[in-house]
Amino acid sequence: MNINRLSLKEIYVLAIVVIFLLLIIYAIFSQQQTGLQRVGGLYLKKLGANPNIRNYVYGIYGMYRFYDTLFELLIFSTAVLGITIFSDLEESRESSSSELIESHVVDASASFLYPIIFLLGLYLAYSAHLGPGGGFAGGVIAGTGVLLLAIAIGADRIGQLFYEQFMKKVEYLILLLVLAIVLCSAVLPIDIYTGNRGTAVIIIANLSMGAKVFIGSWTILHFFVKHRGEI
Amino acid sequence: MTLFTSTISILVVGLGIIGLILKKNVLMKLLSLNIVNTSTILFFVLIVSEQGDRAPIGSSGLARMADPLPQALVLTSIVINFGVLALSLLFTMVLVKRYHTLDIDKIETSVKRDYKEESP
Repeated sequence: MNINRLSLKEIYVLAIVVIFLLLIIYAIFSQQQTGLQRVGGLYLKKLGANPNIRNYVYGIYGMYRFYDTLFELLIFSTAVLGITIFSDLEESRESSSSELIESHVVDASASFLYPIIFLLGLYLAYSAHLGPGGGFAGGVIAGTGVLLLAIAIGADRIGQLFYEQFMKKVEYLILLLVLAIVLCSAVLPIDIYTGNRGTAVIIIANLSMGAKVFIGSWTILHFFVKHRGEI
Repeated sequence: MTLFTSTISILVVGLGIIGLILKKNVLMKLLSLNIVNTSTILFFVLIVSEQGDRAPIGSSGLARMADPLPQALVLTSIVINFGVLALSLLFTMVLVKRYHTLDIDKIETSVKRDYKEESP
């Protein structure tokens, strides 16, 4: 980065950024003096007396579950779809083969750690309403666990074992399932905050969201691993 | 939120934006974008928690609990960050395959040249 070569446009942009940041710092200092109001107080009061929800962050976005899940899945699926299309195009042009690094330490640790990581992802998706976690976090963790397995036995083999045989066929089915569940919970008179039915809806929605994100994150990771040539 | 932590998060946002503008390497630009996004999430999480506050999880009363609303708002941003980063890396791969460089100025020049050649 050469400061002397900065164009006039870049200097303007930098000046705007610096002024903007100074304004934010000033706003925080003035807010600090007047005292900050807690905006989520109403939600805390509403959720405080509820036995089903112990994770208040989940409790808030559970109220808007349908819209949150709909647009979250839309963005995530667009990214996965873009990568899948490009991956198919690339495969038709050239066939890449990833070289496998043979190491007993990696093999042994991956076979030991993979089930634990997968189980942790499942647990985080299952218990999102009671503690830290969520469908997205659980799915990404489980996807990373499969990547660890891919390091040990090869990305292509894992791709054939998991993705081609199983995941590719159920990916869109799970997407439909997630949308159907959140639509049902929004349209039907099921209050997710009371009763056993509400808890069941929360758990099924989180697990199916986790499954969708697991397949999507694996697709993304698999693509980058494959086109790098090796891992 | 203490002044120290808020200032730190804003400075990291600034560093990310400066990297986004000044770096010529496309990968470095993406990395800077990721830094901006992460530090914005940090800012939102810090903005409503004070020293001594508990995380908004558990059943031991609502006293001294951090405000959960900004945390719930930025959850979606993490997913968007993941999706944007994955797609941007894909487009970077396409650009590198076509122009064999990561320099944004060279890519811009090549794109302009290609456009001139293609247009009548």
